[in-house]
Amino acid sequence: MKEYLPQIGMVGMSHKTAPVETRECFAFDTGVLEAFVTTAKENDILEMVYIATCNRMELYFVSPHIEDATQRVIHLLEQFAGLTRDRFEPVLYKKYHKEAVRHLLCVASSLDSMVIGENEIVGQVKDWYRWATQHNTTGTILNKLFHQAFRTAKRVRTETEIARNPLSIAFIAVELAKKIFEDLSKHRVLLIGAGEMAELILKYLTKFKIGTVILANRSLHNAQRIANEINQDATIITLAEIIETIPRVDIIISSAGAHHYVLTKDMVQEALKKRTQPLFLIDIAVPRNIDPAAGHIRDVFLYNIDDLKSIADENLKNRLNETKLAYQMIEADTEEFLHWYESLQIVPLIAKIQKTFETIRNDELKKYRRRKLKHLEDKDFAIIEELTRQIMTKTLHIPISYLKELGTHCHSKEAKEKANLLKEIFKL
Amino acid sequence: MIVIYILVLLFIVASVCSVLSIHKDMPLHERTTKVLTSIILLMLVVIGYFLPVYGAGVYKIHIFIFFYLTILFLTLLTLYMAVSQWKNDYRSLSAILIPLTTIIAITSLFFINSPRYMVISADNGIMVIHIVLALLGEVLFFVAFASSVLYIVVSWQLQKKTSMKFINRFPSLTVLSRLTSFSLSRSFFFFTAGIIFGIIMLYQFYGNISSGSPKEILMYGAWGIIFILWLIKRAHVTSNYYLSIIIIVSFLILVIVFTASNVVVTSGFHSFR
Repeated sequence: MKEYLPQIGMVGMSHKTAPVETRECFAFDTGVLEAFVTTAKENDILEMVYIATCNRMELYFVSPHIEDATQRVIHLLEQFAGLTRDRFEPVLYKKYHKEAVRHLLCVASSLDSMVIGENEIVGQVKDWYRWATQHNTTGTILNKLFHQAFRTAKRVRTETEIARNPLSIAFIAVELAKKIFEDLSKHRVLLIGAGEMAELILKYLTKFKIGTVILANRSLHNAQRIANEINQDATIITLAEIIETIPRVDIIISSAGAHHYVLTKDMVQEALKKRTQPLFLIDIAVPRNIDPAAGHIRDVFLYNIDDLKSIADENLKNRLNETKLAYQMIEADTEEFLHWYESLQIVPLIAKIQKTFETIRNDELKKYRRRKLKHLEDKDFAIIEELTRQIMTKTLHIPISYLKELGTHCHSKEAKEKANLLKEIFKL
Repeated sequence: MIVIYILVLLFIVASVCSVLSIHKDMPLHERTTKVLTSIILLMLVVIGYFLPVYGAGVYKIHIFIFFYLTILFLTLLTLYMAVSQWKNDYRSLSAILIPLTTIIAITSLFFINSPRYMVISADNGIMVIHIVLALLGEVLFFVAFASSVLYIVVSWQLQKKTSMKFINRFPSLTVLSRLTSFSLSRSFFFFTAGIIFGIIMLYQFYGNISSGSPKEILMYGAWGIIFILWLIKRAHVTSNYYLSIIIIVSFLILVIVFTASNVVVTSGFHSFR
């Protein structure tokens, strides 16, 4: 049965195998890519999807003779990238059949990404798949494979914690703020000083629509620069005004270049007497700006740079632990796809049987139309035509259902024997 | 009888699922919890239909019926959480509400055959209103207790500064504080209304506004505590953390006193004479 079924293959390079100088040569623009797929189609490549991101370039394709097709694809890459084969072939990976399927599922689920669990990759794969469908370079097999990859990516994202906990320090700070205050738009943030990381956290907070921004800085010029950069109205105060401002804010990010505590435990305690809401303190400065003892006050949550870093490390560890579960899902989904793929082997046989019956039906109808039924009007003959079609469809329904079931076990010896018997019976 | 045991068993399974939904973070556990809670509610309705409440022109209310109503209201409230403004936090709220309801359900088993009951005239609609309102008040105070426990847990986790894996499964502190506020205010409203109807009923039937029973005293005590807590919350007298601790302590004291008085005072206790 196998000779009917085209094979799946892929070639590619990623951040794991190739330097950016090599990868960038294969980032084709749309015009070049259109020419590439047109040439590929002429080279016995039945289906093709090209994926290019900043970390990888991959080509998934379907061809009846997959190993020859791979060589032709590499030759095309050589032609279109303008690089000699020996310069990129060592960094190129080639995968066939199950390996190729599993690889795509891993890529879409971000298990092969530079940052495991990142969310962008599935969107990028979807974009390239859309491009391929718009240019008619996909067919039954790659359509099914890519839809399976998107389903698997969704499963991995929702059923594991792989993408849940952030890894960047700035994003962790924002997530913690959301864990305390939920809706940031109703809260106020005070930025003391102007460190790079503190500004990044502030930018993230404004991205999540923080209510009010207050900037305290020794230099008003610096404060104004930050206000312009975050593109949000901000109140600028002097360092001396901090004490009276603390009770009115919910988040304080401190990054001042001071060699003493800008905020002491007493100052925080005094501020808490005037408020009942929690207070979130982020101390990014080294040496620290906020007295660590302030973190022991109830409803005060003080995080310094090491705390945020250790959460990032812990989150990364959790993500890596989750990959085991994700790989199990990918393995199961790969098997599910291959099960469907194997069942395709029976499709040509089903098509041949249907065609044989259809030919017989048409021939007989034509014969009768010419002789015994020539007195019938067209509309009456159309009824007979419909009747014979219905009889044929219903007659074939049970055997075709049986064949489809057979298709799901088509690698077994018994299934092959049954298929061969059918071919003999119908002289196919 | 067997149906009640099946119900308790379902409660135990639902509790395990609700805790697993937090522990394992799998949507399947959350879905199973919702399905089981819905089945439990249906069973409670069916059980309620067959409970021997009415007979010969009077309502004969056994102590078990109080447990039944508490469980019914808590189950309704848990399901309400799944469809209301709290639906995003249903998972963590159910993980505390369902196990606590399960404890009440298990406790109720010891009172199934209790001979303690009270008889009220079937014409007395006010009694039913009084019971329903007062129980709703108690159940909502129970929710305030549950959200306060969660507030303390999340607060501790945030101060521990470990992974976000655990914190992410719980609602934010603001949401929990809002839920405490929501349940306290409604608890106060229903409890007050329940007491007013109780007074009207007493006056109508006994010509007195107080029976002086231990349970009545306990009810006024509970109302006073809920009133003070509600005032503290409204007036922002203390931080949410300390208010949560006060709520937890108050609730536990009330539960202990209530349970102890039910065990110690076996006669002349409120209407269960």
